[in-house]
Amino acid sequence: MRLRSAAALLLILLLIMAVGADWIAPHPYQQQNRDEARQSPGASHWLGSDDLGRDLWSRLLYGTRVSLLLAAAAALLATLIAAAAGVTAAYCGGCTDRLLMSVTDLFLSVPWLFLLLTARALLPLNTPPWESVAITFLLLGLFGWAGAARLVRAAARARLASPFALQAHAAGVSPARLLAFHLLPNLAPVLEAQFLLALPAFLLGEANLGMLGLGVSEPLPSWGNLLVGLTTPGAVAESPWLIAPSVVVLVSLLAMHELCGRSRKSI
Amino acid sequence: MNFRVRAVLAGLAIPFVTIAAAVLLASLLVWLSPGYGIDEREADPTISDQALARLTANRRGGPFTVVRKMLHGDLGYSMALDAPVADLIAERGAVTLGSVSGGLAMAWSGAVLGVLLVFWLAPCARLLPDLLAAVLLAVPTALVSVAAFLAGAPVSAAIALALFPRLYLFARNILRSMENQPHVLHARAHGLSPRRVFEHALVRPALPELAALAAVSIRMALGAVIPAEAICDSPGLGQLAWKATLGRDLALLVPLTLLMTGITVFANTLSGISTGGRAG
Amino acid sequence: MRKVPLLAPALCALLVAAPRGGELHLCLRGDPKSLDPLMVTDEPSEVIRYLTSGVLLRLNRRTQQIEPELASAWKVDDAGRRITFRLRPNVRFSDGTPFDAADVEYTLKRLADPVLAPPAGEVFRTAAKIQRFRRPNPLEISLEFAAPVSALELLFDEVPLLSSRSPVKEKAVLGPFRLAQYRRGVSLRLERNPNYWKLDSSATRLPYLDAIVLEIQLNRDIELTRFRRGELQLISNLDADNFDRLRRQAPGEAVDAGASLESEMLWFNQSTAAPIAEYRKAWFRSQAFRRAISEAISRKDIVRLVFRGLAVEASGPFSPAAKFWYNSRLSPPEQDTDSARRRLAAGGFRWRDGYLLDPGGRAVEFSLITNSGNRNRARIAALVQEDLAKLGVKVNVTALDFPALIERLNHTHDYEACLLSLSGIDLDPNDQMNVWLSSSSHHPWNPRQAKPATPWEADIDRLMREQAASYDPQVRRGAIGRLQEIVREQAPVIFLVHPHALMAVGSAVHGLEPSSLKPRLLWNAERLYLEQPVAGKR
Repeated sequence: MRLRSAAALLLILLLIMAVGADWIAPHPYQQQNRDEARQSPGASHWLGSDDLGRDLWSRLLYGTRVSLLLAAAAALLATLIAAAAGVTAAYCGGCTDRLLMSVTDLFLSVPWLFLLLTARALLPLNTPPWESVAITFLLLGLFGWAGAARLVRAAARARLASPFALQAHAAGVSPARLLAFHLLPNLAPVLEAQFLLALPAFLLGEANLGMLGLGVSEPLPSWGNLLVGLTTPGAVAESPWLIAPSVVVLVSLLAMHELCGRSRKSI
Repeated sequence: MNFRVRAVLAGLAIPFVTIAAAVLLASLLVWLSPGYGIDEREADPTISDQALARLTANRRGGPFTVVRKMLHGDLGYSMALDAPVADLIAERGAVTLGSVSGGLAMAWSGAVLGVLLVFWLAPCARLLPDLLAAVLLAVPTALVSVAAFLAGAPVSAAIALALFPRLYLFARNILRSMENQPHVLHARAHGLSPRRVFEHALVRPALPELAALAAVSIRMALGAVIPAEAICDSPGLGQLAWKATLGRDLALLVPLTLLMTGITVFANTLSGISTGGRAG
Repeated sequence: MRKVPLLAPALCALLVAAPRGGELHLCLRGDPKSLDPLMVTDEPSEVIRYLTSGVLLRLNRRTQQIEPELASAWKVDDAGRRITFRLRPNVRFSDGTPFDAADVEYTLKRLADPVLAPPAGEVFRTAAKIQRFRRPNPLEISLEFAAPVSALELLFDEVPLLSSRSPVKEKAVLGPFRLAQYRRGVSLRLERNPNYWKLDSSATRLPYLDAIVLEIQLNRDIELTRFRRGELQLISNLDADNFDRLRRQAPGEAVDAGASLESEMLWFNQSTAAPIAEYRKAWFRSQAFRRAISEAISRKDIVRLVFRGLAVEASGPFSPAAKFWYNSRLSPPEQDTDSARRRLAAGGFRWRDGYLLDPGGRAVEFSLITNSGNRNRARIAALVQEDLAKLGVKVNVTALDFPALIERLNHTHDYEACLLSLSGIDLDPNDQMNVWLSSSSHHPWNPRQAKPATPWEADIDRLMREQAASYDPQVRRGAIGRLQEIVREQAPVIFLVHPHALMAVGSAVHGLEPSSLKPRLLWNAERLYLEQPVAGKR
């Protein structure tokens, strides 16, 4: 329980950092102090500076805002779609179930990266970085529900076969009421777990897209483009402070997994 | 028509329709994506306009041409890699098969070891595999692949590192859901040894779910093989898929999507059968 | 850090018999698109062609002088309309077929074949049409052209000679190596050509190496790691970050050959077909605007921060590496925001609340596209963004993957400004013909013009044609010098920096003469040797 509290506290702290970046950050994230490039941590740059002299602490704060808030929104969207698809498939069964699960397979197989490329390319070139990254996350949310839908369906089927659902059905409860007041509250722990599993998956998804050049564009920071430097062999050995953003990412993801693990246990 | 025959036919038709839809959708996405039909050599300033026209002449075929050719047994020609698609898949299939099977073997060994540790050998040490799994889940596959490569490990190790946490956590949760079942409590109350409880009361009843997880793990491994092979420059199907994506190579992407969808549908069907329709 | 010239090992090679044998391992960036030497269009194929094919004349990549190769002597007559080659006797292809003038004629006819249309022979179908072949004897051949051909000798550095009689056709080669094995996506193994004609000073038949293994490796970071582990002995193209890392870890293995021929550049879309607002096109067509942007950018910071000092500021399209063509009278523009402001004010622009407004009162803001996945270009874009913010100009940077980028540049013209490099060009200005001719598809700022849109573009066209029609190097140099001045005055393309040619060389490899010209470390591959040759893969 203490671990869970610590994890929750850490996430709240991260959210405060993300929302309050404008007040907490000592420098604007895009400000280049060109004579202070590649500096090690010190009084003026707590986490050092990057190749262009930008303050890494400030960039980490703003990166947290971009990655954490948008990833949470995308995870919520994916969980809602997964819940709708999974519950419908479980409740209706038969053809609807087979059709929805086929659609799920389809979503798991089609290379959606092309849609992402198309969407990025179709956006007006003068689209501000904030909007383009929001659209990237929106697409991640829209196409990242399929795996979760199968799990929600399995859980929903199990609950629909349990005594409370059969009793409600026998008592003549309408399908809408059954779903809204009996099934969904009982699925809440599953959906919560799915949300907490999707969140780090999307964070890392954006990080992977960043490494492949499809993520957030300059000068906006994100956890993805802060992690890029780590893929260069020897970079961390030379400048160990570069690992600071990844430690924050790691610790926050561990916190999410802790919450997620506890949620699953509570199911 | 007999109801049973109809059900079998429907069972066969749905995967077929799913695969066909996936292939068609993938083709359309590639066809409509920006840069389709573009040869990267177009950026070479020394190439003349005539040479440019020749380079791009054969690259603008639509998705229906590719699918039609495939239906006639011709997998076509990869413009991006300048080689017959059938040859490319045959050459690289073995590499990926090796990486995926090695990765699956390693990941499952790790997951089994973790589960053994938690439920039988040393329950007090359960934090160890839990922490390892959480750390690995928190690291992007690209970083895991680079780290594995720098450590001199094969691509299969990168795949294993990406798969292990998922397999371990799923397997652990399946067995944990069994732990409080009446038959387990009954077995423990009868003073059965931890080994017998683990084998007979936990694992045996969970075998259908574990078999389903095994089927799903194939799809997971295929997902992990693309970044792992692309980053480690391993000449397998994952790297091929990545190059095909970058080169908008429709002729290559269509059979690869077919392969991926086929395996996904097969794995999920297997998962459904093994759990008697309870999961997957 | 090892600095070029690396003459000591080369000198040792002349005085002490170099040990024969061993395999050299290095990487290619991708699979070759074609193994037919006439159909080469990409860099990996070009490397293989260079190592396996024989040529009549060779450009010495160090001295930039033409040297005899399979032609022991040559003579140019009639102001560049005729060239006569005297061929070396007793030369055989790798399969034992003899080589003579008939093979030269066969190769050139295939190159000029309009049906086959090999990319390597483009010039022989256009600017250098051969009217007549004369073969007075098997070891002499004379070619007559319709008009004077500029850089005539240099053309033959890229003509891979084929056998007209060999049963194995283009697999019979005259170069130091021949293809022994190709595993697609994995590696190519080139083994010693037993019939290679060249001998060293102690009459030892070259090449010294048994084989060169070219491994397909796209990831540059992994390539460096493998080099540090000793699995590779050469890297012919390192980025500044990795080079800087290497020179601190193993200074003797990092080789800097100075400025390369490549340029990082930025240009604005002036195409009439571009689907962008007319008022924006008016900015991009304004000389004052382009010059102001050029002056607002700090090239010094790009060199220092992006390339870690391993680049030179650019004044135009020719880098100091092109010794003969570089116009040394033009210095790179210094960053001068005040001068940029004055230019903009003179062009009718003004400022409100720190933002630049055009003469119509609209805020000046444009998008800058570049290719994704290039760390250096992303950093340059960020520097440009901040430099222009000081002028009150907002720049939105968008990284697109390469096919999407090319589609915008070459097909839809839907972009405002682009940051890219001018690469893949060789020493001679004719290689930049497509860049500068207003009618070309590769003319960056306004391609495929029916007639030049401005008088200065007409001047550029004229100068390029003038130099291409002359055999006289001084006439050509004058025209190219003037072209550089026009580009500097008009700034249709803003040249930023020329990155250095950076390489890595294992301490066991000798005989190297690194050059900034391609193929950089392999141009004298026949003379490379290993200190302790080891057979088989290390």
